[in-house]
This record gives sequence, C-alpha cells and structure tokens, in this order.
Amino acid sequence: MNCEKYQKMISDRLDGRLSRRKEKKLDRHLAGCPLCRDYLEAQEIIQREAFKIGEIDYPPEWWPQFEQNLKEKLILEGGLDGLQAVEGNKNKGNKNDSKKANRLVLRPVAVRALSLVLVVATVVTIAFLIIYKEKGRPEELPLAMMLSYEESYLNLNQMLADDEAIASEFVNSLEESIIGDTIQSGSENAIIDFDNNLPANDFKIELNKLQKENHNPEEGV
Amino acid sequence: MRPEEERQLIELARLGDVEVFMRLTREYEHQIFQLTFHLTGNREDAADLTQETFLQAFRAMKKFRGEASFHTWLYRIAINLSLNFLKKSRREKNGQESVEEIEENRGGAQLEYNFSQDSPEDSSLSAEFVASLKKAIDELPPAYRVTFSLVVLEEMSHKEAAGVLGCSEKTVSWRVHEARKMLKKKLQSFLTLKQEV
Repeated sequence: MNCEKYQKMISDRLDGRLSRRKEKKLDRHLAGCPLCRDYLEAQEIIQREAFKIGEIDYPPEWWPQFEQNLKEKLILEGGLDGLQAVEGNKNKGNKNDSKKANRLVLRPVAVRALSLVLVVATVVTIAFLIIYKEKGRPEELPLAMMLSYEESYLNLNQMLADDEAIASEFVNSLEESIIGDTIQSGSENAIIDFDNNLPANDFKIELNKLQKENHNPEEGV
Repeated sequence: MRPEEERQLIELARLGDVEVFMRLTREYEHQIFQLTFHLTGNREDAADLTQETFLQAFRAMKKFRGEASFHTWLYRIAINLSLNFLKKSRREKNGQESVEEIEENRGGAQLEYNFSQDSPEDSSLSAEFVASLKKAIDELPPAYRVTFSLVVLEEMSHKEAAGVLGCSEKTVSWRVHEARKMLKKKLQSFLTLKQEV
C-alpha cells in the first residue's frame, strides 16, 4: 500500500487543500490502514499544539519606543521629516530634472572623449610595437644629423653652381684626391661610378676618363 | 487601511517622507513581528528583524512597483532577512541543545508562548510538548521551517505562501508535508505519551 501518497493527502487535508474526490479516497484508505490512522492522529496533535504557539507580542508601551528608534534611523538614512519632506520633494523634483538634463548632455561627450583617447592610445601603441619589432632599433644617423648633411650638400651644390672659379678649384682638388687614392690603393678595378643624379655632372665625365687612364698608365703614356 | 489610502501613502513614502512611511509601519509592524518571531522563535531577534525589515523596505521604496501587494512585499523582505539570520545562526548554533536533549531535561525548558485551554492534568505535558515542538520547528531546514511557519503558524493558504515565497503551490504543499514528517519523527516519544493520554 502506498502510504506515503496518503500521508501527503493527510497534510493537504490539515491545510484545507484536499478536493472532495481525494477526501473520499483518503477516508477509504484510512478505514483499512492503522498505520495511516496513527499518522493522522499524530499530525492532528502537532497541528493542535502548534496553534498554541500562537501570538506573542510586546506590551503596548514597548511599540512607541520601537517606532521612535526606527524613525530616527530612517532620518539618518536620508529620509525627510514632515514639512521638510514636502519642500525636499519639490527640490528633489527640480534637481532630478536638471540631473537628467545634465546626464543627457554630458554622457555622450564623456563617452566620445574617452573612446577617442582609447583609440589614439591603442593606435600609437600598436604602431610603436610594429616598428620596434620589425625594424629594431634604428641604427641610421639621427634625423637631425641627416637633415644637416643634406643641407650641407645643397649648400655646396648651390655654391658650385653660382661661382665657376670655386667650382673649378673644387673639381681640381677632387681630381687630385681621387687619383691619389686610386694610385695608392693599386686596385685595377677601382673605378668610381658617379651617380648621374649628383650635382655638377659636367665634371664627372672628365673624372671617369681620368680614372680609366690611371688604371692603365702604360696605355696613356 | 483602505487600499486607495495605502496607495497614496506608498507614493509619498517613495519620495522619502518618513512620517508617511511610519504610518505604513504602524499598520504592519505587529504582523511582521509575529512572522519574524515564528521564524526565529526569539522575541529579541524578532524585534531586530522587524526593524531591519522596515529599514530595508524604506531603502527599497523606489523599487516597489506595486506588482505584489505592499503587505506581500514586506513579508518577502522579512522572510529573506529571517532566512539569512537562520542560516547564520544555524552555523553558529551547532552544538546547542537539541530536541532529544530537551526530552532528557524535561521541565527545564524556558517558554515564551501563551498556554491555555489544557486541563490541569495535562497542562504540564502540553507545556513541555509545545516547547519541544518549537525547538523541533527551529531545527527544521530553513526552507521547510519558513514554509511550515507560514502555513501552520501564520495560517496562510498554500497560494498565499507560494506568493510570498515566490514558488509554486505544489512546492508549498510538498514542503509542509515533509516538515510534518520530520516533526513527527523528532517528537515521537512525546506523541506516544500524548496518544496514550
């Protein structure tokens, strides 16, 4: 016999939750089951005694003190008392309106500014990492020095173009310097190949000729 | 208090008006005290939990949307606080006197309940039984204890208890049944005596 099922029905009956159909079914079972009759009796005692736990209360004079303590705590929590509440609520309403308005204006600006800073920081970091990783530490001359050489080169170029006498002297000294070096090194293949893009190209051809002659001195004699 | 009046008071209390909130407190403080007392079994703890219930309710007034009644909402706060309190004190209580120990020390139990209606012959036995029953209820697992207290001690219907606990009526019915079985087991020696009387 499934007594567990009927004991659950007993519990529902005590709570007034058993349908008429189940009441009849339970009664039929109880008539033939002493175990469940005993269970019902025990539960009826528990129910009856539980009601005796009943109500408990503090004496009436205790409650005003309880309420006073609670009220003080509520005010400490930021609650508003009496007239203060009426005024406070009006101000609160205004403050809330302006706060809402500020939120609407400030929030997108703050978000955009923060986003921009984050994006720039990310791009700079990534760029630095890529350059640093792929190229390593630049071993070339610092940029300022490079610009300085380029400036000197342009100045020289300008000076040679402006003054033929200086240009001629420069070419002569250059010829002497190159020929001297080449003879000293004794290398047969030491042919200087000037870049055609260099300035004062008019003397380069002469120089090349001189070089070739110096490599084969016998031929020239 | 009429529902319309209560609605108006709730609206004002939502704006932080303490005096209005105190009117709502006066309406429900005794019920909440009874509930927390039934859940904790101790008057001082019940008083503290009642105060904490109203403090939490005041803090959360802006979140109260009126989906449940104010009364049900307060009950939920009180039950949650009581459950937390019970779980905490249950951990600390390990090692304290059990129902079995009360049976051994009959007559020593201190009672806070109202007794009446029993004849002089069985009043002593009844007082002991009620003390042991209260102790046995205290020792139930918190979910069963709360459900049993709401249905049997607070005399709520399964539907009302389900609404307060946020569970189904079937769960309430099953928990009360399980709680009754546990109580019977714990109180077996008393019940045998009672059934013999």
